[in-house]
Amino acid sequence: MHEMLEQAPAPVVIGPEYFNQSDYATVSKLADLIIPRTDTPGAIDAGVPHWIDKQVAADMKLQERFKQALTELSEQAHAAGGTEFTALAEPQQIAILEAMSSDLSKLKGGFFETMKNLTIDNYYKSEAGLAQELGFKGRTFRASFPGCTHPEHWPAHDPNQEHA
Amino acid sequence: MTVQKAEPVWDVVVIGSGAAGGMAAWNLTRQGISVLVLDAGERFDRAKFWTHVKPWQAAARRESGQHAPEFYLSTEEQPYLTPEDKPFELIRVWGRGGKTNVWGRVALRYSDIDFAGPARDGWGVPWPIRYQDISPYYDKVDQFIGVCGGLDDQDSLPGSKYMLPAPAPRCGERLLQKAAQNVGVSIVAGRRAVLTKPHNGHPACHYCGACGSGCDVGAFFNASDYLIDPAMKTGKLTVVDNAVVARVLVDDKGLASGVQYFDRKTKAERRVKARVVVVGASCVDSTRILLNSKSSAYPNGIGNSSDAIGRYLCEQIRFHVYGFMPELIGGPVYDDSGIGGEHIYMPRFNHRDGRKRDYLRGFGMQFWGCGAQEGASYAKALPGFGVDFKKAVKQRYPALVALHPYGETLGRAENRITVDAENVDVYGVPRLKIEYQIGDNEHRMAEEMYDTAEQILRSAKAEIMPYERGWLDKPGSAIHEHGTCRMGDDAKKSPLNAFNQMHDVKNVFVVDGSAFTTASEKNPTLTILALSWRATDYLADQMKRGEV
Repeated sequence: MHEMLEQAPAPVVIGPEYFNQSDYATVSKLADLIIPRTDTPGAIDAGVPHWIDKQVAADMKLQERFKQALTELSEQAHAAGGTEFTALAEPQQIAILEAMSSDLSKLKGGFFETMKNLTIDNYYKSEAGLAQELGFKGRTFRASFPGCTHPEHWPAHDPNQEHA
Repeated sequence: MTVQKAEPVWDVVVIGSGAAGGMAAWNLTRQGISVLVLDAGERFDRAKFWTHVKPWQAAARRESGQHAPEFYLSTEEQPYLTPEDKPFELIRVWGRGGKTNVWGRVALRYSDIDFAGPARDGWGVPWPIRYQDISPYYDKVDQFIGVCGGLDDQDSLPGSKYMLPAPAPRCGERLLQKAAQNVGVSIVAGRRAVLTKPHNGHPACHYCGACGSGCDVGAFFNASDYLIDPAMKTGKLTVVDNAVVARVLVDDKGLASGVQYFDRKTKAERRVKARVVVVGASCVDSTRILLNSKSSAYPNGIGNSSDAIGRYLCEQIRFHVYGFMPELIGGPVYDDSGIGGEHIYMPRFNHRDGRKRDYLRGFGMQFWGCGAQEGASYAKALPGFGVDFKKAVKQRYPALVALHPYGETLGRAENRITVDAENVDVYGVPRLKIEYQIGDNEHRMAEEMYDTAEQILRSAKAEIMPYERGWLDKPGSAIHEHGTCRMGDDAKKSPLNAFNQMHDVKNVFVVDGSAFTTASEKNPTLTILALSWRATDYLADQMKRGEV
């Protein structure tokens, strides 16, 4: 098991372009719940809320979707804990998200899928997500390419090798 | 008294500077023939490519207002029409070298199984050539542009002794080869126009894997560096940039007399005179030009007495299935960039077992995207969220394999390109309209394509990502348009003869994918290069004899 980083994710200081502070905090928390910080950076460390804000600012359909979903999320949070989503205890937040992600009838094309996909797209193209978390090493100069160095993965019979 | 300066008459005007037009220009100029190339765009500047810009750097650059070079023609500038219920994705690159700046570099030879297809099964018209006619040109192309590959030829995939070393397969590709072998399917080394060692003055690949951003050193064939540049050095070539060709002009004898084009910047009309016109603007744009070249001699487009120009459009069907190899899940992450795209290929095999199938022709399979990629969109298909989800994504990162079967599409008269006089572009020229639909034969073939992909993945005991069986990419996605100005011996059925020369108009040659009699399951570029070389050898010979 990975050791968790001690500190909580640092607050993002860049002001959002589209969201108000309260909605931005909710979007940030959702991204953080989807890809949290572990021994590697999480979605907030990678600046995911910043990029989602930019993308929503440029897309009217996404704006509608977020407006409606964040209102519903706020209502659910008040019903569950009498407060805003961001003020709930994390287990309560997770419970709400689990309900959203397990309702298969609403999952396809629903808000959870939108939020998850935006988080994935932005996290796994960031330096934190792609290089640090996944270990991407491409777009560089190499003198040679070794290919697979595990003979146990090779086919018993390689027609190209026979001729070589 | 005024002395009028005579307008130049070019030996040959070539429309297009990509694989087809670039090859024609290179092969004619080196034989001493003066050539004018009309290029619909400009040269792409390699120094400005974002080849080595990592995804997060690209995002930051875009945020600061910078743009990567735009290779693709926007549909805002040049819209095309499709019926609402028949979408077609047309991807075009206007500029020096055309699509070869960013092509997939898959360089497969057609075999006699492909060339003899229509003669064997009776669908369509027979090819007027066989493998023996084109193989010397495949050999020349391999040696000239540099193609890496294996010495593992098959009856459906001929090779040559001129191949550069094949790059070593990645782990996922090795496991696919092994899994396929266990179910009797053979996956060979891929054949790709990437330089695995320095070749003809071009440097070797440096395995950055970012070919789609344009190669910053020109280590894979592109028509700009490999063909137009050396043609320039002969002193016989002139290129006009931003020349959007509208029509081939005709004289009173019914021969081509020149070309009308519009300046993309100023919108001004221009005309050039030529003894011969070679059309190589890529399948769809060449077809638009030919159909718009109407005259009293050719009321439905130049060289179109067969009424075949624009018809028999065929692309290829394809789809994508992904999985994770159990041996690689949670294992070490390597730099799997390699030469960008796959190092392996599954040649067509469905002709071998003698089984009677309920469809004609066949399919092959490509495998780009195996191993560590520049992103993790597969994560969208993994359930849940949080720490476990993040871990599941990471474990699968080195284990991804991707299967992309490609199947031949039959040419059908109703799958066609037309021009619409009611709908004109910014130059007042009728726009092109594409009506194209995948047919029953292709849907039946897709069943066996799915069976094969599933069989390989099950043999590998792979964790298969969810997919919708039967789903096919939107037509046009493979960017392999063919067939709308096909070759054939019968002038009543085919606009072109065996040397890409118009049956009706002996001084017009069409040398791009539109000339293909069938599409096959293979990527067309290598065959376009070989056909264009062969056609222009014939043309040069005819010109020397005074026949053209």
